[in-house]
Amino acid sequence: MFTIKANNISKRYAYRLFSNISLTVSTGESVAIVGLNGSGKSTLLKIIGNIVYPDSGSIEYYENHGIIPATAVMRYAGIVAPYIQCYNHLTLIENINFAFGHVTDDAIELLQCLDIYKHKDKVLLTYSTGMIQRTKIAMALLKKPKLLLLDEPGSNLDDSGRKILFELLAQIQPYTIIIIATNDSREANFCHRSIVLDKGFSV
Amino acid sequence: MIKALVCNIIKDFRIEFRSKVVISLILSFSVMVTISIGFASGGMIGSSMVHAILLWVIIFFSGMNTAHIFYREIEENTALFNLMYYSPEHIFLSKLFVHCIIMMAVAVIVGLLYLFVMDVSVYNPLSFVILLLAGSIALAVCTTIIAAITAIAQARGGLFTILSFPITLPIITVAIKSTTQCFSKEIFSSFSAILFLLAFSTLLGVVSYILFPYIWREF
Repeated sequence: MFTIKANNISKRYAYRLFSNISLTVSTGESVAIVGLNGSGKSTLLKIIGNIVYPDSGSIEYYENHGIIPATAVMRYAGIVAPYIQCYNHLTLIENINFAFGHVTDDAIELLQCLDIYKHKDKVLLTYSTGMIQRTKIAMALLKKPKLLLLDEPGSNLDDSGRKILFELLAQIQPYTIIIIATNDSREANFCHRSIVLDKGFSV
Repeated sequence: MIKALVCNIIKDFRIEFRSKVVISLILSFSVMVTISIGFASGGMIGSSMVHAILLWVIIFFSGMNTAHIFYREIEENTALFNLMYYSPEHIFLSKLFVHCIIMMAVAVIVGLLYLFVMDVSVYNPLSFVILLLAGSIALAVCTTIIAAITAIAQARGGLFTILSFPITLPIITVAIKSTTQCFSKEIFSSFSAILFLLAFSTLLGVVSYILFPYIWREF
């Protein structure tokens, strides 16, 4: 059981993004972070993933009631976001070999499911944006993450890609925490609950 | 640990051999400058010290291009992707290894090219080779940590030059003095210089290893 407890998180850049956001989420639960452009959805997602520090407040991570140091959270997390790219000069298989050391049967099955296995020996520079997004989803899921952070996961995906994405998320939902930052109502509706960022506060 | 390092090192070399950014920058700079100096001077440089200074200036500026290996991670948004699978310590050690290999290759290529083009005699070849390797390792350690610090900054080029000046100064000074002796007929021992360069590399490497996880975040 993996649990995240965020207490009174606040963040500002040139202007206040949000303040006093608290959240507790455990394995098997999913949360959508929704709000207008610039409301801080991605920043909140980065804070949850310990990529960015909050200005105030704290965030704690637990695995089976034992606390995990924040610096180790990336080991448990799979992230799909526009600001995270796979290595474009490597092929799909080389990216998987880099990340995991070898390609398993599960990996091949997932790549076939996402319809990118046939392009496995091409460097990612030759991929379309939709194929890149599918690759990022595959790389995050292959890690079997206990925390899955998705920032606009459906962007650049066609209808079949979105359908596959939701099917895959439904499969791993019981074993992981899924947090989605999105403006898409279908992605938000997939989650058990939502945090709406509105004028610096969560509603 | 070993698997993590190997995966990262293979990845860096594979990307470099496909993109050829660092290799072409280093080779074009070092070859062009060495040959230009050779033609411009017409073999009229007699002082061993001038030869040593020129050699290390070319190695230094050629080697500075290795910083691009870190910058590429930020420019192509792959730094977080790497952190998703490997710890900052693994990333630092693998980058350090890649920098060391490239810097040593640069030092050997530039050294040989310089000796050939400028027709310089080396009276203590063993010391000269060890000095080249020890100096290039020290420069590699410096460029690795400074490249990591400056990678996230907007004005990374300027910042890199400013930060690297005080740190590389003792390395270049010691390397030039000992290389001067290698080019002259005097009997000398380069042991203390080599020891200094290796001790400097070790100390800076350990400090950088400890600091790196605090530097390599918040992209």
